[in-house]
Amino acid sequence: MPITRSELEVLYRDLEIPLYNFALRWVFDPALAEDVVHDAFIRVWNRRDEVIITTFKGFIYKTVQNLALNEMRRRRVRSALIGWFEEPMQDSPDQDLALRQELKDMQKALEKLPLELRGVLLLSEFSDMDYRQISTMLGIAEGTVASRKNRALAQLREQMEEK
Amino acid sequence: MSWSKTYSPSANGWTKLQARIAQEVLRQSRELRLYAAVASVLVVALGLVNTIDFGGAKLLPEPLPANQVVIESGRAVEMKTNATGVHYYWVFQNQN
Repeated sequence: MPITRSELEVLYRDLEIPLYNFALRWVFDPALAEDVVHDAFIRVWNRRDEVIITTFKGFIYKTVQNLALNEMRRRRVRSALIGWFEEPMQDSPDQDLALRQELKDMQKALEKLPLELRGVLLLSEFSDMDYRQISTMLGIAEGTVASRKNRALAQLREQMEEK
Repeated sequence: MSWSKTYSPSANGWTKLQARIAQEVLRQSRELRLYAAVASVLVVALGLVNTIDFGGAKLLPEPLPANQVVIESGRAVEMKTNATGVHYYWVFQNQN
């Protein structure tokens, strides 16, 4: 049975904040993170006949991650095309300086992590899924999830100490 | 700096999402209308052609009883209605 608009609303309201924070750690831009989350829910709406509630969480996090990675790739290509330099982050006017600085620092730290470590770390932190659910979603062993998370945390700690 | 600090999205996220879904529905309905228009043009074009050979079968545009599949005298006929309400007929005729 396809999900209804009110069921979609419940899912959205339940997952909006963690998904937004997850997306923000991939794109480091508040407006874009919100757009990515909305894009993912529009995909859900377009495929509402196929959505299975029990596996929904894994599906939506994977969709958000893929959309965010696509957006990063697009930005890299665009930056390369417009002059071989890093495209400046598009800040919204109401974005305060402190938040901008926090996001820049966060980006510096997280972007140094290999993608597979960052993915596991962020899923584990924001998705409320346990190791078993994350391992099913990513198609890796539970032990690998745990070791990747530990390696990611260790690398982040090292970076902090270097500062 | 804490990499795991929780930030809040804008307060009207659900309203924005609803607006984007409405846009998406509109876009899809425009696409459907476009496809229907193209299909209508194709049906008219097919109607201009008396007989088209498809190997062992023939596609004949001709008036036949609506809403049914008829198999008579070695012919299988299926009535279809496209999105704009135009009826058209597929006649698969055994050449024997």
